[in-house]
Amino acid sequence: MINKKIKKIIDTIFFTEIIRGMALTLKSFFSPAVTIQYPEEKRQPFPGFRGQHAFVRDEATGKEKCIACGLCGAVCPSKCIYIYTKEDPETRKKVIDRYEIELLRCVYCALCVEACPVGAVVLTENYEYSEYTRDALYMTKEKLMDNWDRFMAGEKGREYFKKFWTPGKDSFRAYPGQPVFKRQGAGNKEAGAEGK
Amino acid sequence: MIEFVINGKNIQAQPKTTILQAALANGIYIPHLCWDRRLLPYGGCRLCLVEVEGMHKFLASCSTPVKAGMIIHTETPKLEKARRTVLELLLVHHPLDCPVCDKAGECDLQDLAFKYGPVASRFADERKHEPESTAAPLIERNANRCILCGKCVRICKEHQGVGALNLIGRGFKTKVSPAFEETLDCEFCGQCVDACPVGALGTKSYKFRSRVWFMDEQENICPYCSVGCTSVLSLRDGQILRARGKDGVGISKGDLCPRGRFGFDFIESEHRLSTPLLRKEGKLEPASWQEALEFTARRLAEIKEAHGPRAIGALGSERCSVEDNYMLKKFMVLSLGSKNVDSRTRLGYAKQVEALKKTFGISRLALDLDAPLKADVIFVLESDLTSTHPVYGLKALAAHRDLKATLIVADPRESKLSRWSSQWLRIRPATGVALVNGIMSALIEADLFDKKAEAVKGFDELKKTLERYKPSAAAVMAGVSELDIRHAASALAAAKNPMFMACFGSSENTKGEGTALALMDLAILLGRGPEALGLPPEFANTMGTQMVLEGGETGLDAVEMLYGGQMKALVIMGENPVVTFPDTTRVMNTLGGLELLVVQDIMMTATAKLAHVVLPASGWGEKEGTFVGMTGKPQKIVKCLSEIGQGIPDWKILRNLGRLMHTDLDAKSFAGLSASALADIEQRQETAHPVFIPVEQETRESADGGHPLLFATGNLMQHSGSLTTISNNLDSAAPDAYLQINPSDADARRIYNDSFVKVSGRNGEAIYLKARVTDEVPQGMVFAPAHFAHAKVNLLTLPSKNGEAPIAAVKVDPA
Repeated sequence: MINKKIKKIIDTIFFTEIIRGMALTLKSFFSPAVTIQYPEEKRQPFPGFRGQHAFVRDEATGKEKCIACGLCGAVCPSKCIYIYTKEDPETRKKVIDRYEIELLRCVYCALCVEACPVGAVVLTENYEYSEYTRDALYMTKEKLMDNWDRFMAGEKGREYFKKFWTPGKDSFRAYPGQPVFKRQGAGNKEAGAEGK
Repeated sequence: MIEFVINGKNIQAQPKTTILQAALANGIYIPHLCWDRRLLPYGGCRLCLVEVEGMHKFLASCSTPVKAGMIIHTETPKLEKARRTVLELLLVHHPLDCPVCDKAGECDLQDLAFKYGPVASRFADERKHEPESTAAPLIERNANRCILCGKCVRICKEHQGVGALNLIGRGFKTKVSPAFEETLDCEFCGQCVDACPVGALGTKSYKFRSRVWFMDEQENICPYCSVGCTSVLSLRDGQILRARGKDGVGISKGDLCPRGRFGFDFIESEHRLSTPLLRKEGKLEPASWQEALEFTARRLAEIKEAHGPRAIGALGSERCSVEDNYMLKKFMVLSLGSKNVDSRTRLGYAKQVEALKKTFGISRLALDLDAPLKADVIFVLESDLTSTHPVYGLKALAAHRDLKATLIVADPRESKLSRWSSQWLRIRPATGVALVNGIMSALIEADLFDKKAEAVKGFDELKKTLERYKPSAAAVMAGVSELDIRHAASALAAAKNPMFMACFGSSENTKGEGTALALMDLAILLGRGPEALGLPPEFANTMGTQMVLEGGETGLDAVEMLYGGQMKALVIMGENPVVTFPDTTRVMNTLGGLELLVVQDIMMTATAKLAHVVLPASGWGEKEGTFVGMTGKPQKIVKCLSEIGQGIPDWKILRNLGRLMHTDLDAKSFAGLSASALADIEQRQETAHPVFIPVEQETRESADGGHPLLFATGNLMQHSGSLTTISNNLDSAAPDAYLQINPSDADARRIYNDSFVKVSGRNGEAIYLKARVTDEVPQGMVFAPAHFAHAKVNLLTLPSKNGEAPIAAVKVDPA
């Protein structure tokens, strides 16, 4: 009790807390800087970063990969994906009429990426999407495909597919121990492998 | 009652109940794909297998009746394994295209595969690669997804009585298809689409439009015929994407017809009105509500001043709600002091109401949709009920097919009912009265009638009249054999519970008030009351409209207003007399000569084009309201869409107009208005006091050398009035008017199928139609559907007088 009282009196008279604070400042003064000088200097995100969305452009066809199943919209927890579909009059296939993401409502959970059976929607590494209007943050199919070209096209996209965005259709596997019809001559090692 | 045990639960059921029915009724779910409540057990999918103690094999619960003391297990490890194998086998050929299949999310196979969980099939085989069948309107078939449960085939044959589809081919190549793999050409009722447990059958209008989880569901009463089925609408972003029937929902319990299932898209037609229009310098120009209503109010006041309130009339609508019609009546009486309010019911439903008043002394007939199922003899007179009231007509079919009731159809035209009938009396057009009189005369002759009838007032007059309709004489008049008449009479006499069905539609010109009277006389003669009559009103709110407009004092009726030539101003709400009323020339003359024609409608009709003021109204789905259908009970319609343009509900238009004319119509809120409108038509207790009203066989015109063919008009199953012709869906199934003509008549005139013909009437008018040479109509009769505005069929028809059948005689030549 008495010691504590004496310590308090000394602290009050000699400003020891300020001296300790100034010591830390002096120490930092001579250590290298950690602040990134954004926007002149940009931070490189870690692999698998979940930034602004993109719509994958199929390298083979040059068009979107989307098959218009709407699972992204179904799984979206903040219900920010609006997908309108129609029948393509020529190919009679299901195609997207409008594909829109309201970025202001998105929580960047990437569940849409996980749900997508064909790997058509992804989250890029782009984190610079501050805008002055709401409209600019309302993504349409064209804007989303533009994002792909800007941020993910080429080797980077392929890398991401391998590491992070494995489409759902590639993960259908037979359950362990499931008997599988084997073609004649095939060995045991195929058991439990990918089912048809 | 039989007692047995399912999953340890003691259950009682009637004998002959199947295990599946008993289980479902007691909240125990047994998976099934090929079973449907409405169909005979098929036992095809093998998913409803159950274990019964003491039995070595699994039993298909859908086709096994319960027995006393059975101990049934529906979920055991062995059953689960069996079901998983069945599903695996189903999935051998089923494409896993759930991401693009419209059924995904409500697919039975998907749900079961999810529940019993074979992630992948152990059986690898090439999937099917059949091309989709997209040539037919409205319905598309995708054979690859089909699991061959046969539900569509059976619902089409067993339930609808059509049989347009069947399983074609054998083994793996089996597929569902019309005969010879032709393009589907059926009624397009779409029952098969709703029945399909997978996505093999779909509707064109909904294809790839949305996923089921994005849509909201809204039950609403169908706006077309008077049955009052509930169609379940799927809405997304304020747009109806599809309508379907849901098992057990509404009075139809999930059955729908082409109109109920596909006719919803009239509401977003491009013909809808969006702004008020005002005639300025001879042309209709868009105007503001203020301008249009002030003009209307001023002109109505001027005309009332100049010619008195009797010169102003109004037509209500069977399409509008009870509240709208109630408001119209109120507006006319309070604001204008005129009692001239009527509707098109005058041409159809009113005939039977007048007949009911005369014979039974009652003014309305509340029908039970299931009444035909309780009858043992059903007599249908000159009505194609399966077209006008498809779901009601189905009950007559079901009574005949499933419950072995005798179905006697008297109709010159071939219809689904006549095809299924026990006896088809192919009478001459519009000779229903002669036939019924003949039957009555045969009953009296053979002393087969109910003896109580002798005490009924008018029996002696009836007997006297019937002397001229001895079966032999009636047979000649009606064009059937005497034996047929006697046969029908004895069948009716032997019946414990006969039922008399007919529909008095405003566009059908083969029946007059006399036909209704004759039918009612027949019922009384057999000792039956109004409960034996199955006479449904025509449209969704025909009964409600008639009840509201007939209430209180009435002035001129619709026929007097439109053909009398005394009117100076008309307010027409939701009606299109130029197209739907007979004798178009006279209607046009009347309307053209008016000082003021106010039309409030949802679309730009032929009548609206003649109007001085056109006021846009909101249609079904865009407003609340009440319909009174054939059951006589009010049914609420729900607002589920927003109004198009500046359209507002009809009652609001009239209220605003009333305010401008400085009258208080007391409609502050919809709820208040609805309550007072419904109080107005509150069920009156009426007791029937039968009286015989003998009638003579009379028609407006009869055929002669110059005009040798009788021209009958009527309804198609896909259309209803002229409203449905703005529905793209229904137009794709039934796009145009045509003239049905018998091959022998056609040959004599060198008329070929699909060639154009000129049909000219006695009134000097002529119309041009495409011929459809078919023996669905007998020799001496031609038939044209009355729905299509551009066909102008009503140029040749006539309004009826004195209860006679308003049929017209025409001449048909190649055009």
